[in-house]
Amino acid sequence: MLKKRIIPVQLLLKNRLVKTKKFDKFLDVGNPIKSSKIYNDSDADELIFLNIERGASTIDPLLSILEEVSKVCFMPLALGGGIKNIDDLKTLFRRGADKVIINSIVYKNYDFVEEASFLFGKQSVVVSIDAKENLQKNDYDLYSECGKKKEIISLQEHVVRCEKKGAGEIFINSIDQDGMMKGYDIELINKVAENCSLPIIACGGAGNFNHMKEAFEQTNISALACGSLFNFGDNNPIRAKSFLQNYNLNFKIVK
Amino acid sequence: MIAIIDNNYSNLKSISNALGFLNFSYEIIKAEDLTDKYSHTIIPGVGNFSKAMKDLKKNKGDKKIIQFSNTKKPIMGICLGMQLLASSGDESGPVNGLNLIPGFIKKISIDKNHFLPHIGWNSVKFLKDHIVLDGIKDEIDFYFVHSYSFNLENEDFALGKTFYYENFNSIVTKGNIIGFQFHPEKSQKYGLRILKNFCNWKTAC
Repeated sequence: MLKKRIIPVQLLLKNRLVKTKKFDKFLDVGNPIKSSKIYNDSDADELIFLNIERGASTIDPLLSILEEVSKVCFMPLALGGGIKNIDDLKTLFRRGADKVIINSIVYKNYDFVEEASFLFGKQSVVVSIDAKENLQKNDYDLYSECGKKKEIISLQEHVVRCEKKGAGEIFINSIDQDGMMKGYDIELINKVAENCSLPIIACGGAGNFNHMKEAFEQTNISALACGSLFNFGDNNPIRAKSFLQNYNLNFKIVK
Repeated sequence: MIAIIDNNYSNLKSISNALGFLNFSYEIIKAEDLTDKYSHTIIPGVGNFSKAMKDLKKNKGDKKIIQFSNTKKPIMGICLGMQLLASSGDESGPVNGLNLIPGFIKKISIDKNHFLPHIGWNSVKFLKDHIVLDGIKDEIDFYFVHSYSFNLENEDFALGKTFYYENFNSIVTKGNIIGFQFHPEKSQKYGLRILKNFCNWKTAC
C-alpha cells in the first residue's frame, strides 16, 4: 500500500533557515544543514527546500545546501526558488536534486513545465502554487514571486493547465494560513484535488497533529508539508506519525 | 571498482554519494566506456525509456552492457535502469530494451482513486531469499517514483512484489542481474543496506 507522506519544508534566506507568517515577518530558525540531519534521523519522508529571497535570480543558495545535504540525507530532496531556465534544472538534478519545484516561471511560460517534464521525467517536476483567499469573489487569487505579484489566471484553470503540460505533483500553499498554525485550508486543498488527478502536497497552517489528521481525513492528499510545527517546539515527523497511526493513517515502515 | 552508468539526465549524485558514504570506490562512466576492469555495474536512471535506449545505442553502449553481463559480474538496474533490462518498452515506443531479463515495460493500470506517477513509500513483499536482500526485513517500505512497471515473461525472475492498484514487480533478478523499481539510494537505512550487499556480491567465479 502506498503510504501518506510527511515532509518538513525548509525556507532559505541568505543561507539561513527562516520561518514566515503569511509570507512575511521572517524569523531566523537555524542552520539548514543541521536541521536536515535531524529530519533524516526523525523519519521524514522527503525534504523540501525553498529559497524565498525575493527577486532571487540565482539557484546558488540551493546548490550550496544540496552539496552538503545530499551527502548525509539518503531520501528524496526537492528544491525550488529562483529557477529561471532549463540549465538551472539540469544543474540541480546533476547535483543531487530528485525533484524541482517551480512557481513564478510557470505563469510566464507553461511550456516550461512541458519541457522540464519531457527532459527529466514528469515525476521530478513539482509545480508550486501560492493561493490567497478572496472573500469578495468567494474564490482564491494566485500569487507569484513569493506572494508579491498577483496573477490573473484562476486556480482551477492554472491547475488544469499544469497537469496538461506534464506537472508530476502539485504543491499547494495557503498564504493566509502560512505560519499561523491554525490548521490547513481544507477548502483550498479540495479545490485543487477536484481539478486534477495528480499527487498533492499541501502546505501552510499545521499547528498541531490534529490539524494534520483533519487534512488527511478530509482530503485526498498524498502528503502534508510542515514548517512551523517542526521548527518550533520539539515536534518531529516520528511523533506526528505515531499520533496519526491511531487514526488508520498509514506511514512508511523502515524498522 | 564499481561503474555507475551516466545516462545524461539522471540524478547521479545521490547514487554516488551513497556509495561514497558506504566507502566503495566508483567511477561515473558512459556505457560505451564500460570494460571488464569494473567489478560491478549500476545503471541508475530516471527519464524516458525510448530516449534512454536511443542514447545508449548511439555509441553502442548497449552492447558494452550486454558484454559486461556475459562475464557474469553483478549488474544492478535502478528504476528506469531496471526497466532498460527488459526486452522492450512501451514508453514513447514500443522500443527494444537490453533484453537481459525477458519481459516488457508498460504503463501501470489505475482507477480514478489512484494517481500516476506512483510516488512515495510503498512496501515490498519478498518472494524468495537473495544475497542482495540479506538483513532486510520483508514488507518494509522503499521509495518509488515511476509510472511504468516490469511485466515478466517468466515469473521465476520475480523477487519482490508491490501493490499499487494491482501487484507489480518491484524487484526482478536473473543470475548476475538484479533490478529495483524503487530507489535504494533514496530509501534511507535499508536502501543503503541493499547497495552495500550488492557491492559485496561476488557472482563471477
